[in-house]
Order: sequence, then structure tokens, then C-alpha cells
Amino acid sequence: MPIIKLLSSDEEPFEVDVDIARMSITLRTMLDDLGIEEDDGEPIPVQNVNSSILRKVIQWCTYHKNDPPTPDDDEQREKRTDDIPSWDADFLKVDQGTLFEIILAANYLDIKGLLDVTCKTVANMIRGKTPEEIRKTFNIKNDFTPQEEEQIRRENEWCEEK
Amino acid sequence: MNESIGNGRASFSMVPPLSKNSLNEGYVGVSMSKQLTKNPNVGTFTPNKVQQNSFRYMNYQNTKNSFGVSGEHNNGRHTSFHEKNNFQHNFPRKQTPGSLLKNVTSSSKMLINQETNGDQSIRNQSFYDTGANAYRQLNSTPYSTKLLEEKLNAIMAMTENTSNLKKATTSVGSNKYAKYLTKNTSILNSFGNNLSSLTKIFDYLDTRDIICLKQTSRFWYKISSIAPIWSKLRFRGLSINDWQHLSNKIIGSNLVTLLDFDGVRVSSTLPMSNETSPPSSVSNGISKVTMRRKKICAFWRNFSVLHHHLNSIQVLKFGTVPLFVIQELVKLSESQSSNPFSSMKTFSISNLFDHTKNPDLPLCLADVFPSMITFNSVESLRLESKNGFVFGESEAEGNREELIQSVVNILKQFKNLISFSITSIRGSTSTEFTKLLDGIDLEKIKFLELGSCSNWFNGNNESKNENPATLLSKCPNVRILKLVDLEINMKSWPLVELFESMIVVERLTFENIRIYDTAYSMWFSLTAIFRSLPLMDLRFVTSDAFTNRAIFEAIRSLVSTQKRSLQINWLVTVNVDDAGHCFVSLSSLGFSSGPNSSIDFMKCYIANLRSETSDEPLYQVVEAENLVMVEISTLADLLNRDINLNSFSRNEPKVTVKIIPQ
Repeated sequence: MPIIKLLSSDEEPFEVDVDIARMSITLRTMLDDLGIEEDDGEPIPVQNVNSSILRKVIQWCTYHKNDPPTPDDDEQREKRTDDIPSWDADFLKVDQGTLFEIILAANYLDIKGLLDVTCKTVANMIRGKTPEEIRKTFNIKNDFTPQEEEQIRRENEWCEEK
Repeated sequence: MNESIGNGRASFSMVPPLSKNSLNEGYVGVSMSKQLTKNPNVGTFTPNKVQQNSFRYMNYQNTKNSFGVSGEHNNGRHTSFHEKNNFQHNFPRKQTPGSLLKNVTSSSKMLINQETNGDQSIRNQSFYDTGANAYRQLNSTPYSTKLLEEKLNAIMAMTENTSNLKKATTSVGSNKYAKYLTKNTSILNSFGNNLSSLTKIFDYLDTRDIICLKQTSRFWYKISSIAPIWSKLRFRGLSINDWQHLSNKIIGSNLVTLLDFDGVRVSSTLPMSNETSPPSSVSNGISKVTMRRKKICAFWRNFSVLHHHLNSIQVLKFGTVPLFVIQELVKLSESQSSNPFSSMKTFSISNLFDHTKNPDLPLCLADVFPSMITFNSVESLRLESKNGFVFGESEAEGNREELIQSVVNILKQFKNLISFSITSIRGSTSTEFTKLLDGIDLEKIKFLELGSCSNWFNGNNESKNENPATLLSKCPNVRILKLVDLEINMKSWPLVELFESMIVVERLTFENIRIYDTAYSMWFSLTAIFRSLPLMDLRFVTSDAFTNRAIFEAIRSLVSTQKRSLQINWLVTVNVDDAGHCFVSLSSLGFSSGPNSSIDFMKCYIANLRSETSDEPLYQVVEAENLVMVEISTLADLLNRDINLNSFSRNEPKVTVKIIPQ
């Protein structure tokens, strides 16, 4: 299988199968536009992704390389968040900073499956919590004044349980 | 060798683009080089200085770790070395201590040349190694040539690396990929991309969660208020007190495309609607069900407030909803010159009921379906009722056929249908089911949920062509298939044909499946076919002991041979004992028509079970009923036992089996 070289933002080279690189729509479009020449050795700079994140992304893509292509008819699919495969769940047991960087990388590289599963993971961290619990989980500081809090409370009266 | 060193050095003078990591390292490095200028003489390097260096080095590590980046051990060292030389460079990060060591030993020749290189190299070296080990070494032994050799070699190894990197770096700037990427990147698009990943997260949240997030802080208040986030409203867990507000302030001003009322709370203190309540067939004493229905009806009377906002809606989903809401929508579309629902893509009802009818009776499809035609533009149609559906009230043969035909005629007008879900049909024969499916363009269908399938294989004289399963084998594009109440017996051969045709199916669900003991070869073939399907998710929902046994064996066989990663979920009815242990009952008898493997089954799986804590019961044998009750986690262990043997590494796709008590 042809190999291609990726260069992370901190300039660590990664050698990956072209098929794995092509799971990124960004890279696939580029390779298609430029045409792949046999082993010209030129590395692709992945400008926005550092080596530790790129390594994770490549690891995910390697594991999922044989997955059937994700269909794009999104609305048909229910937005489920309980269907994260257990390998992915383990893979994403990382700190929030890393998770965030993986999302940005998946978004930049346009890897739909990875973006979906990371976004689901974050959504699951928010789901079903009270505002206070969300603040705790994500270390958010409550900077509302009492007046503002009252205003927000009134804004939400239309749907609050009475 | 010397040449490569030269190259390596030259590359240092190049200033690479700064990344946030290099800034970080820069900080550590600079502070070290300051120390050096104070004390340029390496020979008198004091432990105190080294200690300070290593302290900083530790700090550096801590900072890194707090960002979740680990394994950068060597990097701090590299940087200190370079900073000493007043060079700024980003280094390759994947330099493990092991590989350094290898370089040291492999190029031992080099050191002799380098030894004479004098002062400069020695200084480099001392700053290269600032770890605690170095401190100990420096303390215990004076600078020996041997140590020097090692250090020098390490540096050589690194300069070599650098020269390789240099080739890469110099080419990257002008490389076609870099040019392409520069050309195709715009700052606005980058912002847009980051915003789109944010809204993507919101896509998975219910409106309730967004409201909670909005209350956390000012920043999140602003972020969660942007229009795209409010274009999809999912009311699960929320109650709607002020429909006017919802209509004008929320739906009216946000270009809403999705309304999902599944799971909406019907407020318990809702004032009784003063409209005359519809005639109820239950007159003697108002039952709980009737009360509940009345409340739900009163709640849904408000829905008409939203009517004038519905033409931008693409997805409309209801949980429990009375029929009149749908009928009002039909009236609405009839009163307008063009169908307001012509852009609708998804229409879904998970529990339709008719408040005018007895709550115990099933709904008639022939009554419901004429309303549905308003939504014939949809790609996705889901229609369910907890009461169940029958084709018509009249059971007269001729009449029944007519009713089915009327439903099929309407269904035929859903030309865009790619997703169809109706699992609540009751009491229809396989011929009738076949007729119903005839109304759908099966080649287009990608998502299909059907039920009840219980009568599919118990007709007596039905020809093969009249079986729904045979018809379904004409839908090659089905990716998600759910069959409810499927019964597998010796006549279920059309299923083999069906699953052989499902070449793209990813998710397969058998809800309430029942396998009969006559179906040995059938089930054996089906299991073999499952193995060849591109499945990612396989789900069984079972309750009876023989089916459990058959599922157990099927999963065992899938687990030991599966090549792709597959998630198997088995929802099973359990018996709970007094101590709270959950037991799954499995038949100890095998298929009647196949090899009787009951002894093997007991011998292979059950007899060897030993509890580690001894007082936990793992299984019980009920001889009289040919049952063995296996504790649920023990059963899961039995199924998962061979999984890891099959996968070679962590990266290897693997099967996971979850048993969920229901």
C-alpha cells in the first residue's frame, strides 16, 4: 500500500497508508486535486495539528479504516449519543484539553466519523446535568449578576416545570 | 558524518514558525542559557546549578502534563541544548530514550573525532543532560572520557536527526501540499469551521441541555443564544407552559427546521381544558389511563398556536400524541393553496392514540392513513402506537382486503421514502404484510423497521413469493433493519435469502425474537450469514429460554470468528433472586432437529464455572424444566471469554458483547 508522509505542526513526520490519510476529506480532496505521484517523498504539512494529537487521529483512523463509509443523509439518522463503540469510548478517555484538540483536528481534517464520536462524547458530558453540574464539569465560572440570573429565569419560564 | 553535522548546525540558524509548544520550550530554554552565561566554565559545573536545571525541567514536564501531552521527556532537554547555542528550533518529538541509546552505541566511532572538538561540545553536552541522573553522575564521577563519549554521541545523533528534519523543513515551505493548503485556507473559513464543530456538539443536545448551558455563565449565555443552535428544538424533559412564547419568540425568530416533541412533559398541574371533552367509551368511573389521556389532549390543544410556523419545518417528531393533532395538520394543509409540508423530510410518531376510542383497542390503519397523505413528501416515515394497529375494524375477508388496498394506495404516494418504520401492526397474515410492503419502493429503502413479523412463517399453503421476507430481499440498500416479533422455525428459509441480499446492512435488531427448537439448520445458516455481513451493531431482545440458548450459541460463534469490529447488545429478560442477582434462563436442551448438544453445552460452559468469592451463585440448574439459570455477569464473561484471543493488538477491531437486563 502506498505510504504518505504527514508533518505535524511541530514538524514530527508520520508515515501513513494513503488509504488512511484519505479518510480525511481535507487530505483526500487535496490528493485528488494535486494527483498522487508515486513516492515523491514530499510531506504534507498538517498545520493545525500537533504531533500528539495527530498520533491519536492516525490511531483512530487506522482502527476504523475498514468501516463502511458514513452516509451523509444525516437527518434520517436519529441523533443518538448512546451508540459510541466501546473502542472509541476507551480511546477518548483523555483529558478535556486533548479531547478538544481532537475535535478541532477532526474538524480541520474533515474526518466525519471521528468528529461525530468526539462531539457525542462532549454532548454526553453536558447531557442531563443542571447548570451547576455543567459548571463543575467544565470549570465554568458563574459571572452572572443576580439581576441577570433573574432575567434568565424569566426567559425560561415558558418551559420550566411548574 | 562530519558533513551531516555541518548541515545540522546550519539548520539551527533557520527560524522555524513558532508554535505554542515552541514558546513553551523557549521559556525553559532561555532561563537555562542565562545560567550558562553566568557560569561558562563547564569543568566547574556545580551540583547546585544542575539541580536548578533539573528543577526547571520538572516544571516543564508538569506544564506539559497539565495539557495532557505526555511522553515529551526528551524534548525539554533538546531545547535547553539549543537555547544554549542561541538557536531556536522545533524538534521532532518522537525521540524515545531507547532510540537515543541506540544511536549512542551505534556511532561510537564518531566520538574520537569529536573529542578534540573541545570546549564547545563539552558545554553542549552538559546542557544537554540536565536530568536527575546526570546530576548523580556529575556528582559521583569527574568528567571521564567515557561519559564525554556518550554525551557527544548523543549530540551527534541529534544533530543527525536535525539534518534530516532540515531537509523536510526546507521543502515544506515550497512543497506543493503546503502551497495548496495555503491557497485553500481562509481565516473566515477557519473560524467557520470551528464554529461548525461547536454547533455539531449542540446537534446532539436536547433543548433542555442548551437552556442549562445557557445558564452557566455570560459567555455560554451568548454562545448558546446564536440562531443555528435554536434551529433544532428537542423538547425532551421540558414542559411547555407558554405556547405563544414558543411560537413567537423561539420558533418564529430562529428559522427552526426540527421540532421533536418526543419526551415532552405534560405538566401535571395543567388546568383542564374547558372544551367539551370528547365522548369516552369508558363511562363508569374515569380510569387512570383516561385521565392521563385527557391531560395529554388538553396539552396538545395548544399545538395549533404553532401552525403558521410549520412550513419551514423539515423534521417533525411526536412522542405520545392524539390523532386530532394530525387531523388538524391535514385541515391546515387543505385550507392553504399549497401544501405547507412539502419541504418536510421526516415525520415520526412514536405513540399515536385516538382519544375518541376505547384505550384498549388498537387503531385502524385505514382510519389513520388518509391523514398521512399530507406528508407524502417525506423521506422518513415512522408510525407507531402502543395500542397497536390493525388494518380495519371489520374482520370480514373481502372488506379487509379493500382496507389493506386503501392503505397501500396511500403508501404508494410516498415517492421519496427511504426510511420506513411501522412495528405495531397486529394480527396481519404474511400475505397481508407482503401486500403492504408492495406499496413501498423497496429499492430506495435504507432504514426499515417492521413488525409484527410473528406470522411470517406460520402460514400453511403460502407460496414463497408471498412471503414478506422474500419481498424484502429486493431491497439491497438497507443499512438498518429491525424486525419485531420475528419467529424463526423450520419454514423460515426466506430469511436466509433475505440476509444474503443485505450486502450493506450495518445495524440489525431483532426485537422480541423467538427461535424454535425445530430451526437448527435455519439458525445455523443465519448465524453464518450474519458473520459475512458488514455489521457494526447487532441487537437481540429476547425473553424465552430456548431462544436465549440459541442466541448464546450464535454470539459465541460470531465472537470467535468475527473479523470486523462489532458491537453486540443482548437485551434479555431476567429473573431476580432475593439477593438481587439477575439470572438469565437458558434451555439445557439443544435443537430438536440438530445434534443434541445439551451435554456439551453443560460441559463446555456451565460445569466449569467456579466462583472466585464462593458465596456468589453463578448458576442454578432446574432439571425438571430443562433449564439452567446463569447469573448475568457470568453469562457475559462466558460470551466475552474468547474475544481477546482473537484480537492481536489494541488496534485490532474487536467484538464487544453487552448483556442488558430488561
